[in-house]
Amino acid sequence: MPKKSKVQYFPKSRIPIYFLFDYIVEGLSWADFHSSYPWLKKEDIIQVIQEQKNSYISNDLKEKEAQTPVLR
Amino acid sequence: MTSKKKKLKLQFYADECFPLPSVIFLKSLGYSIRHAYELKMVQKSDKTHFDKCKLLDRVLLTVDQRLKRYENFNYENHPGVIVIKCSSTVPSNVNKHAAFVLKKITSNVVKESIINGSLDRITQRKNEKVVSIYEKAGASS
Repeated sequence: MPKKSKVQYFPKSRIPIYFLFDYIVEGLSWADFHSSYPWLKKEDIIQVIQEQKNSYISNDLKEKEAQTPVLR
Repeated sequence: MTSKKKKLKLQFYADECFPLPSVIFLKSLGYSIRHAYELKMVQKSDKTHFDKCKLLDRVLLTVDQRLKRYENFNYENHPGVIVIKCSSTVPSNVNKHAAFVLKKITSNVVKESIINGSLDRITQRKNEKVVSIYEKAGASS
């Protein structure tokens, strides 16, 4: 079971990052998200998406490394 | 002479988590609602939003269902808080839930309380007591 993590927010705001993923799941764009919360900086939204992507890639690589058999 | 009791119309203050398009939608339904953004109240603490509502005598509206942000404040003489509980915070979903919940709430019910409302269930929490206001048939677990 995944460990429950603390809610993360967009920089200098009270908007939880998971709100953005509601938009993606519903087929909306980050621009739609921005129109709901126009005071958020576009760069901050893009940075959050980039960080999530990097985190996914990093986890994916770790999993692949763990699955690779060690040659003796 | 006939006396008609005038129903008190609720006025709302949407905190910064409430999507701006949903505020526009609720205004189109005739609700008096101000968004924190309009009042230059974004990037403020929960307590600041809570106190602002009391000052404006407006019910606080939020959608942040996974956090218990407003539970530990003093509700004495506060107009109250309504938490719209919906699985997704996109405006179309919030609109549907908010329109449904607000129709069922009166100022007497929300005053000094937290209302948690969804399409299935609406509860009132006041002085540590939780009372069910609405429950969809078959929604109880």
